[in-house]
Amino acid sequence: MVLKNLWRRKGRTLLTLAGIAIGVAVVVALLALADGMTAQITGMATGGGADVTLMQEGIADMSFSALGEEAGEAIAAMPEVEWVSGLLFNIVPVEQRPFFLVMGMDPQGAGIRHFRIVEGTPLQADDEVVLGRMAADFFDQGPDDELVLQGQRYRIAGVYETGVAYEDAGAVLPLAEAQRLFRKRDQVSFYQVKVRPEAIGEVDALIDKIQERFPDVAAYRSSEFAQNAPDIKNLQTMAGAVSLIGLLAGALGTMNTMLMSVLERTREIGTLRALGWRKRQVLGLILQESLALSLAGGLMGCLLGVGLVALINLSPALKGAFVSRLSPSAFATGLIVALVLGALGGLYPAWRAMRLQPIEALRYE
Amino acid sequence: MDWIVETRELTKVYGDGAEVRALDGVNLTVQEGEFLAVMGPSGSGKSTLLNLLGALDRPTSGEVHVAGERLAEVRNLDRFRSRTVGFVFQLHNLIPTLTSRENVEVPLRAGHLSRRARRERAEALLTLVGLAERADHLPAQLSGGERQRVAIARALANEPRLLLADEPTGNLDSTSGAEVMAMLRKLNQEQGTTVLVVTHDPAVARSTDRIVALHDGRIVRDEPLENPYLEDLREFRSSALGQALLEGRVPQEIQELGLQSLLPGIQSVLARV
Repeated sequence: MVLKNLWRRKGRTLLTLAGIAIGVAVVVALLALADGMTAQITGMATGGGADVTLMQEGIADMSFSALGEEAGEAIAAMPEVEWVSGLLFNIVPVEQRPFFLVMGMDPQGAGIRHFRIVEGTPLQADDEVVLGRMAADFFDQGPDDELVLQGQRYRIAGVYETGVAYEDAGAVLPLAEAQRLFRKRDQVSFYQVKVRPEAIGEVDALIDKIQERFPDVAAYRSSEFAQNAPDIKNLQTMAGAVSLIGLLAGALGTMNTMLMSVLERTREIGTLRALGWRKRQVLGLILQESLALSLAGGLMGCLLGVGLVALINLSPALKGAFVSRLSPSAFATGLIVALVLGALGGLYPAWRAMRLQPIEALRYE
Repeated sequence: MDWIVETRELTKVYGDGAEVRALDGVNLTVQEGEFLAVMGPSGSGKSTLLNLLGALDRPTSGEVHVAGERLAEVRNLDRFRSRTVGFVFQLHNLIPTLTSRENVEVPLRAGHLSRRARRERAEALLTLVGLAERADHLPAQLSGGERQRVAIARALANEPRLLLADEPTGNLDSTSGAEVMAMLRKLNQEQGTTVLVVTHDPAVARSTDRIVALHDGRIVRDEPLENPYLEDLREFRSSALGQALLEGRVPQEIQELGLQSLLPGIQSVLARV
């Protein structure tokens, strides 16, 4: 009965469904993007085996992070620390790619060890660069070809793979050369810190110690670094705001549809009451209709969200820059948004229907 | 006596400024198992009376007792409507997207029957009104008379003791109308359901056992219909020709029919009915 009622006005129902679906799809896609980014950054922070990752305290975006090299040296001297590796990180446009990740690392440092060279040789000289597997495929370049960064030519020494898409879609320069090129002398973006095996139980104490000594350094366990990265937080806030707007817009659309539907069926509702239906049953009928509508819209939205994510992943220029991961929690959030919207949008029309006086409703033309 | 309906000084006033007394001190009693018509021109208060008996509306003053319950004291009117009365409306008010069987099941949803029990009951009711083979048709695929019969089956779903029909033939041609009245007669005789039909059509009223005539919210006539031919004569007396003959005049246009010689006899007959 609920579904038949909804299907009575196919056009109106389909338009409302489309509205809900688009809202939910955007929510799902944004969450997938945020989840993907979290996974990538977690991969970068933990890939080299570091236990603690440091960035600058109170920054709006990870690419602004700047830490002085003296802090790195001081931390390396701490007894519980096995090694410290600095990473300079920048995003620059290269040829057809608007976002190209360039990392500066000490060619002899510990942080570069997991960048497995699959073609050519590792970094040796300052005029050399190693290219990630995905970037090499995209540019169709290999060892002994050239890569131009900020107007500077570099010889491609080799091609590496780490298994983390952000890294494999980027390139690595020697740290000193990156500092010169990006005018960040004696600075790195992040430090990765490996704790000695015997001190592994004291990671939290070490984090406290570092933060006490260097107030403008934010230290996190590497596995928790991504969740605390400002970029992720911004994206999550945005996803939340979009969800809220989508929820309100969807609820208003559903409410409009259900109000029209109740108005059109005034006489029918009067008949139901005359036939002995309780107020509660009328309320339930209208609420069920609006929840069925929003649930269907939510499911369509999840599918549409998958499509949207696939579309973003298809774009070759964005490959590696936006890696999205569709997690069950993104779908769950999308469906919850849809159901809340259905309940909000259905409540007022259902209340109106419940309040109809049977005799007035029966007289309604 | 076993009254199923009893009203005392039942009054309903509409409007605040220009008051309309739709019902004005109506005392009506109906015995269990009766088949009666409430007749009157539009605005006479007959639909108002029906709404008050069915607990769709509350009186301004006076009392209604239905099936032993004083309606003013009934707390759960929905349950009362669901269990005690059945409604048939002028416009069948079937739900257009539901089949005949599903429409008959609608009032059963107010109760606690299983899906299967509902279905079986609906099918039995459709058989009762002779529409078993139309169970899976939508209202749009049925004739007017068939729709009204589905509506009757729906009204009977919860085995009401009192069936209230508001102009059930109002939208039907005379053949379908007669079919619907025959159906109501059959229910009255075979199931013992008390049937109260509101109508403005004398022919429909005459197919019942008792006519209650309302005018301006008051009962102006209430008598059993023992002899339908007597009703025909009364109707004739109130016609233009009947009135002329009663006054001793034979209209110019029909003088060659030889009524003049019969006039004294006709006059005395009309004066007696």
